[in-house]
Amino acid sequence: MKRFFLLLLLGCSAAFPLFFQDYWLYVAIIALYYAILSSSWAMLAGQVGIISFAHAAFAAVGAYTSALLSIKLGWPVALGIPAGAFMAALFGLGIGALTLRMRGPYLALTTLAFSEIFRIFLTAEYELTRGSYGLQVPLVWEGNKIISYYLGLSLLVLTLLSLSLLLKTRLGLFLLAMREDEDGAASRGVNTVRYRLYAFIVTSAFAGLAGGFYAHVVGLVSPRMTMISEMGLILAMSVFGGLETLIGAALGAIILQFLTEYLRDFEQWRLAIFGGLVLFTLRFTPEGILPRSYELVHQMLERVARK
Amino acid sequence: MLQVKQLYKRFGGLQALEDVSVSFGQREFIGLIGPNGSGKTTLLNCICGLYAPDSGRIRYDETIISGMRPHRIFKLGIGRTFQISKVFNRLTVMDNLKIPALTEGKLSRRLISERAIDILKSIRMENLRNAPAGSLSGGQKKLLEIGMIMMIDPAYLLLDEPFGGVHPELKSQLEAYLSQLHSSGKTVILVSHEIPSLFRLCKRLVVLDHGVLIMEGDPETVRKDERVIHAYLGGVRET
Repeated sequence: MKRFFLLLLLGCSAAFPLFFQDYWLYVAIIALYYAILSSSWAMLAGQVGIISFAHAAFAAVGAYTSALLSIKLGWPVALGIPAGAFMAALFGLGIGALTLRMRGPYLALTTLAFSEIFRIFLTAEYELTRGSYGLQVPLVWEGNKIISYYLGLSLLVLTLLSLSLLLKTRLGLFLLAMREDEDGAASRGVNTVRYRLYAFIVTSAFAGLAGGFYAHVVGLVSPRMTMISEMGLILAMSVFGGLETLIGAALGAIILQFLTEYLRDFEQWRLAIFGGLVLFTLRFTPEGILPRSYELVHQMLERVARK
Repeated sequence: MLQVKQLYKRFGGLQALEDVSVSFGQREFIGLIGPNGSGKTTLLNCICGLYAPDSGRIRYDETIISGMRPHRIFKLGIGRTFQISKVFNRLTVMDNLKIPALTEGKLSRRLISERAIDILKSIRMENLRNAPAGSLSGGQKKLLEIGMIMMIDPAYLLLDEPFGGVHPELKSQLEAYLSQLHSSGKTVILVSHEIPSLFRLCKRLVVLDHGVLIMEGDPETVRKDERVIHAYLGGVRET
């Protein structure tokens, strides 16, 4: 049933541009950006147990790298986006090596500090980044939304497939064991610091990939990308969809992004409604909406079969 | 040979280990006993690398292992089980067994699976190979933990309360398995409150009280020792 559900989702996503254009297609493109970020963050938090507040900052590393390479050196988008992912991975290596021996709140606070330092750097280094004005970035295929959408969808599928496959490898097994019990894993030969670092680097790279994509579909990168509110949004999307399922987190991002846009008519109340919805989810389906949806559909099918 | 020399460990105002020196020779079966809070588990945690001692040394053959990280100590051949079993509940029994062997990176996946099945047979849990470890009983989890460390065939087994909360039938199975491991050349260091089991299995007992090693010797001598009786029945320790 899960496979059927996933194929249905993929089919609907592929057909989306046939039914929606312009504004809602643009909303979907931004939703795909958040979906890549949320699913990679969910991998880190839900599967490895690392609560990092630097994920949005890694997306900004990818975005600025790709933007600067295309503006200053004329690199094509196809090279700029992977270069952004690579640079985010390098930052992940540096920050991870410094912080991953820490646990719990210390690790979270250090990543938050990095995120803030990076935002201040982006704002202060005006000659390189144009500070809070941001950088104008060349668009994918001269701003063709349909191509941008399919590029985003491909990157999301790539992210979900890569991370899911990774969880099935030896490294994935170690990560799952560490999430269950870190001391237990270490006492059975798992080099916990090393494998936490690997996971941090990989998820940072996917955040960078998302950032590169964002830069070339929005056409503007600014220090706003690294604001704590952005990180809060990623966190809420992951929790809403289901922290322990990569697809759930991606789905949570897409639903909440559309909901945020839909609620624009409510002006300042939309964030309150958004927050209330996340609280409601945490209270009644703390595992997220996707696992709960599977359960409900399963129960429904069983009832139909009984009749 | 595993040698602990003048080991100290303090947690805030509590002196958990104080000047502990003890040796564990090869192929020995040793019981580590003492009242609750006497420092038995802290000593195991220092040996297996979960705690870094404040001072003192732990030497394994020619290698100083005090302060070394747990995964490296495990790879040297010192396996450890826990008072509250640390199996990976959401993984299957087979995956739990595979993890220690996979960290070695020496064996093929086929050989690892074969070894895991051999171990499951010896602990009589072959039919549970695909069950999530979280669904096992307390006793089965204790057996699985021993099975996990046996995957790398360690020379030393440090077992923390393996009989705690275990059904009597499973307890005798566990005892038989430990005897079998000892006969095959393993050194077993057993922390337990199960005095009858300790007397049946161990040739030497080491007694801790308030973090201090107060006595070591054969079970009969230890049983009659005044200091041990005093430690178990209560009272202030003489200094």
